[in-house]
Amino acid sequence: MLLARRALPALVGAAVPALHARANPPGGALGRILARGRIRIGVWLEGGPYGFRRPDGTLSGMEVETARDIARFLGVTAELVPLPFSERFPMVQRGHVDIACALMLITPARLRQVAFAAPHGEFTTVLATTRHLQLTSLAELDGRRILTLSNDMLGDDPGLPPGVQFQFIASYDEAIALLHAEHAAAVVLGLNTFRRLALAHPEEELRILAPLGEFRYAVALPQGEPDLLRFLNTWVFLREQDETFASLYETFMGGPRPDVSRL
Amino acid sequence: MRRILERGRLEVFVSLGVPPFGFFDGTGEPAGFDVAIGRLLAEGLGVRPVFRNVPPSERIGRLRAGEGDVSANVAVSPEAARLVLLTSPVTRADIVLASAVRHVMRRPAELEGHAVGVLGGAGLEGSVAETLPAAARLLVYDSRAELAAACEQGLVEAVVLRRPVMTRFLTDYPRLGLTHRFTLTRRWMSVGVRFGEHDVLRALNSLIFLARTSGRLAALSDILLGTPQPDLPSF
Repeated sequence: MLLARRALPALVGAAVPALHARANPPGGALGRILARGRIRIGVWLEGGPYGFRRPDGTLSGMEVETARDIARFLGVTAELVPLPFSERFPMVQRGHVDIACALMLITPARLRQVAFAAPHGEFTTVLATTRHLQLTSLAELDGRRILTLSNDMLGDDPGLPPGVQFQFIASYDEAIALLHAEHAAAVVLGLNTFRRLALAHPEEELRILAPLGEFRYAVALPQGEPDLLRFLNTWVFLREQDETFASLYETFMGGPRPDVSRL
Repeated sequence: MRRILERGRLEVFVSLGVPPFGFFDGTGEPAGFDVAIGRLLAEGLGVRPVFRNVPPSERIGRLRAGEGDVSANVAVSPEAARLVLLTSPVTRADIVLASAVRHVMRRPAELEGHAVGVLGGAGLEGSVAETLPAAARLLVYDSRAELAAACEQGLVEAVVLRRPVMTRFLTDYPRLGLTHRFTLTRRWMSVGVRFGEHDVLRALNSLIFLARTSGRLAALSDILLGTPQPDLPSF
């Protein structure tokens, strides 16, 4: 498609007169990102359908593709920075990445550390165990060890007995090994991850002991960046409208995307 | 925001050559949907609206250069979001295509190899370009008169405009023999605000919310655009 301009140049995009294009640049992080033509986005690659590394080394997953879409929307190059789950929020706070699109669950504690764009997904966490551990209630976890990637996934009131001990893990493969060896009684994970692990490890007979929390997740950015925040909210709005999020969900989760309630 | 309130006026960029969004009425006063939106926002802020008639292609550039306070009629698009802050939508642009009787076009694919004319300035060129086949040519004009002249000279074989603008265009230029064909795409339209002016953005979004929930925006759409207001989302 060829695009030509007659009369005066049009106002949006490359046609903005050079004199005006430099006027009133966005402030802070958005200005820096547009000026350098590149955005550093934190992603998480141990997240199954949310983020993973293909055998050929390339990155993919629902949140990874969402991150790439943000860069396209900005008209800049995406520099994807893999982050351990526990480092996602600190890396945003310290400015090591411009934003993170890595299953950033919105919780009161995290709201004190970073800013969140409008949510673009919902995430349900569950407490899973294996059949051979023979647990039937949360009360039986008293004094036993629960595995989790992060405190964020527990929800406001998980209803766990006070004697529960938490052990942080780096991956769900580690969780399966620890459950198998009976070094832990249960693991906190997302519902979609539970389904994936149950299929991948039928010998473990994974089952849900209790639901834990329902979260919304969003792109996280440093606090005090209102231009960037508004830009990201515009992106969320348009991607909800053109069903990009629904399409990504269908691709990576294999089903229709549930409605995501707004904040 | 303080500047607007202290001087008691809101300077709004509108284009007064694009009826029914912006035009001069019989008494020479600015009128149209964009003007009504400007009045609504100024009234909400408790200040006087001042309309600056700026060509569509210059509105965002001049706003960024520090002139005026806000620009009416900006499409919510990635391109616009890189240049200004965008309010929640105030209306939806249904972008329709018309062509001459001898050029029957029923779908975008049939525009292959044809020249398509569009009015620049509302941030719609990118949206239109996305929907056209690779071998179509999009020519951007800055006024209805120039677009009409291009049709007469055979420089363009089809015209793409927002629905109410198209209705007026077909009425005002019957000699072109254009016929409405199909809806090409839809875009939400908003008000543009300079980067950094988040107090203004927040105030305008609140006023748009109130106008939407009170039915005032729907009434403006009915009366001035002649089309029912679609359900307006907000962000």
